[in-house]
Amino acid sequence: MENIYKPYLVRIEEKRTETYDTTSFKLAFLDDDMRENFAYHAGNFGEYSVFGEGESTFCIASSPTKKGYIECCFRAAGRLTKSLAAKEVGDVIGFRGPYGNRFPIEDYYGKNIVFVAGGIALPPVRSVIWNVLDLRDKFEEVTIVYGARSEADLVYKHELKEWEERGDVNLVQTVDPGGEGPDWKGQVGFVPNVLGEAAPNAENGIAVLCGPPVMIRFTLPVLRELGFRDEDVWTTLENRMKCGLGKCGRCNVGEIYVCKEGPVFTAAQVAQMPNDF
Amino acid sequence: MPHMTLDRTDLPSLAQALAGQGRRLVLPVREGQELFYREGADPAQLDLSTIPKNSIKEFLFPKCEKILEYEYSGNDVVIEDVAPDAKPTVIFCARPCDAASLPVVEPLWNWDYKDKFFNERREQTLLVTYACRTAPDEACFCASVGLSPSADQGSDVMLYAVDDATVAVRPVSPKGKELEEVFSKFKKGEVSDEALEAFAKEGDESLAHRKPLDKVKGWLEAHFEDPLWEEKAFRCIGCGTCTFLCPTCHCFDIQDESVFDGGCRLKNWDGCQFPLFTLHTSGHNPRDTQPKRYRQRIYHKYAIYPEKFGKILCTGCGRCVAHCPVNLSLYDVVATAQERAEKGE
Amino acid sequence: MSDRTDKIREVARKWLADGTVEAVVGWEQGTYGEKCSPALARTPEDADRLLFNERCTNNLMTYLKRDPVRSMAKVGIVAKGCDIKSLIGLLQESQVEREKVMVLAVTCEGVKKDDGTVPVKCQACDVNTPTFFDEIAGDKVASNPDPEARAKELEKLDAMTQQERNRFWREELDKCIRCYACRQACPLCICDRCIAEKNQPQWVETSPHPRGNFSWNLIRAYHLAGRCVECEACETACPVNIPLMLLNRSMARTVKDAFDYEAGRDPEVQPPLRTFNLDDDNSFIL
Repeated sequence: MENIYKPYLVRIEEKRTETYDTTSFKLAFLDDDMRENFAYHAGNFGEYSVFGEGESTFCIASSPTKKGYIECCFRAAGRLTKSLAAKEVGDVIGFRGPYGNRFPIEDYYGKNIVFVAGGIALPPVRSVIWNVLDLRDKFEEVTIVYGARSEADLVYKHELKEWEERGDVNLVQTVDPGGEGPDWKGQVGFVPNVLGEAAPNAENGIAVLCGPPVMIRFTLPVLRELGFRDEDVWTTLENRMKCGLGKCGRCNVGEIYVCKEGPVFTAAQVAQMPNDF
Repeated sequence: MPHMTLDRTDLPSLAQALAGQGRRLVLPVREGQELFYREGADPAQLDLSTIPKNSIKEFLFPKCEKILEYEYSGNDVVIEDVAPDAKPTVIFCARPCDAASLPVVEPLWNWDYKDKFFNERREQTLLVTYACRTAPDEACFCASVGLSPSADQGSDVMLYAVDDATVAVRPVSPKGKELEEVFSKFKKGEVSDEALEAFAKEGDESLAHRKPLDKVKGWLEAHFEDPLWEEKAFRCIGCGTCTFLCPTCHCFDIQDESVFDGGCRLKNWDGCQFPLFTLHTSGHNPRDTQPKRYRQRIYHKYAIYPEKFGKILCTGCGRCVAHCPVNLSLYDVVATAQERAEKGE
Repeated sequence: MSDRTDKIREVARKWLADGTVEAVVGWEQGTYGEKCSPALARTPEDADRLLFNERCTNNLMTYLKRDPVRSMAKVGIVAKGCDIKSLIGLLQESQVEREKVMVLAVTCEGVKKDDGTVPVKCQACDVNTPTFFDEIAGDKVASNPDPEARAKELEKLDAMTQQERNRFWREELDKCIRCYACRQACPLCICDRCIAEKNQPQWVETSPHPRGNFSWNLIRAYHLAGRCVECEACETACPVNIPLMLLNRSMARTVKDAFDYEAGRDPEVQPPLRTFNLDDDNSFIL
């Protein structure tokens, strides 16, 4: 019987310092076969190991349309993430996954999509963004509203540039009031307000939303007002996870195991959950 | 059909014989004022006067188990898979509530991903269960969760002390039936089905006061924010005793431990009663007070697990009631929920 | 004993009715045999559940470190002499303000454990009639401590060679399952974040293997040296029956020999390992 706790070995191919405390990695499986054939979906997460320190849970930030590597992006906040952040290109770490459920991309075909993300919550949304952009003609209008506390807190800055320059995406960047630098060309304002002003088309619309709880709380009413139904607003729920396999008993929100039946949920599903997250 | 009997005084020899077939032996023995299931204990010390303080969980799901080994060399890491330390084992004179815990937790250990550590140990374990003639402890409530003092779920062989000197033997599983030869060496006589039925009836009567807890799930699902939790669980000191003594509690932690360049990854017992269990790195804790953590315990056992796997995550062994240092009785809490549900509250 | 129950209820009712305290922590009838269970009385009516008898074994001072009691401005606690010693320990260390706690002391002839035996602390007790309290329930009980009770416990250890003692403790501590019941039950284990729960760096291995268990139990014994009042809450709570009191009493004896100090007696004095004196004996360093 295989060992479900045994990670794959991956090598850090690229390391980027996104912000003063956030790092992103591009990881390649050491095993050739895995590298060729590893398959996953937008929304899946993994358990990333530094052997000797432990494991930590992050989403797979790359899109499954890109082959040969996976990406992750994390803030150095605890023991494992700090040691991960100290790793360099060429170092080998562990990866277990893919775990969890997925964004049902096929259900979004033919629809208008708005992506709303705040700060460090861009990575899970980014996975869907690239999945959509790599299949661009299957979708209608694509809007991205992304903000952070300040310019320094924006992640994947080089990709923001790329999205801005594309003609088939409406990117709205914003920073909180006071967070703008002298050369800032984007909006200034909290994400929910900026979203309201951007007023993406809610008819036949899907929203993919990710951010800190306070941002979600204020963004949902804006989406509703714009005409998005709760069943069409998709988000990911962060909860403390450890095994990713539905066994360690840590991540449940009421009867829902976030590692098995999540982390992707609709706003309608989240509204039904008990106050346990 | 007739069932063979043996002399009660032959039980230690029977244990010895089963161990002699190349199995490690686990049986209940006395240590001070209490009984414990101990590996490698002397069969002559077999003590069946009451239910042991520990459950058999530690023999299938150890408190600390290696799941991986690793070694660094430069940037590279080599990882070694670890075989579960699963030796052929006989758990001799387990109680029905302990044996029944295995089929209860089995679906979880095999929910999509199969945990080889539990599965291999389970496969190598022979469960010889000593049925309770009457409930051994005031705290017992197996009858409330669909079991009984002579339940055979999870067992390979059942032993029934039909009288003070005589023990009847009934193989239950194919594994148990394969052992007829070993048991028959000790055969002294026979009893009928009726004798076993009378035995079971006596056990059921001893727990007649324990009502079924069949409405608890529905009540729990409708009362997540009920004041009951603060009311009952303020006294909980978060000590983890209930969790660790419970035969069905299975939550765990994964920890890495290194010495210089190498080390291992371990799977250790953990519990939802500890504040760190659900603590996010951000500092947010969804279950930041003990009543919320206690609520999770009840929900997991009586609502969430039944919803997912169709079984209550509890075999009514009563250890949580008997050994809670502050006498927060889980039975009292769920019985209160049952009562309220019956009253329509 | 019933006089004590009446008095406890009377005082608790009064304190709750006139708002002297937000709640009174006491004992009430339990649900398992004759066991008693900690109770929280928030209203005068609740006070009628409180009682005292020889099964009131819990040290209720452990609730001072936990919500809801921790956040209360003023709380009443029913306490035996041994429990009060741990309060004195908390006061010595400024962990609790005197004004916050209304002590409803109760005179006591000794309690009985679940197995019917009398704890060593009761055999050695000299605080049957507490002297530190706000109100007291019960008639005076004369103290008749057995001067050998605590020392007798240690004879077993004293008779061992160092090697035997090492093996003894390794075997006993191997049983530990790291449930931390000892820590949770102890009124003097008060760290907001226990050293065993810190992971940057990981001071104490969390795994319940022999090395981790040895680490944890020895560190806890050291952190309690000079502070432990031997209320036996830890040993009573331990689900795997580790003889924790042997360890704690041994440390207490060492502290007594080295510093002539006993924990939990005088709120004005500092435990010896929390302070220093210029004329402390330094011979052990040289």
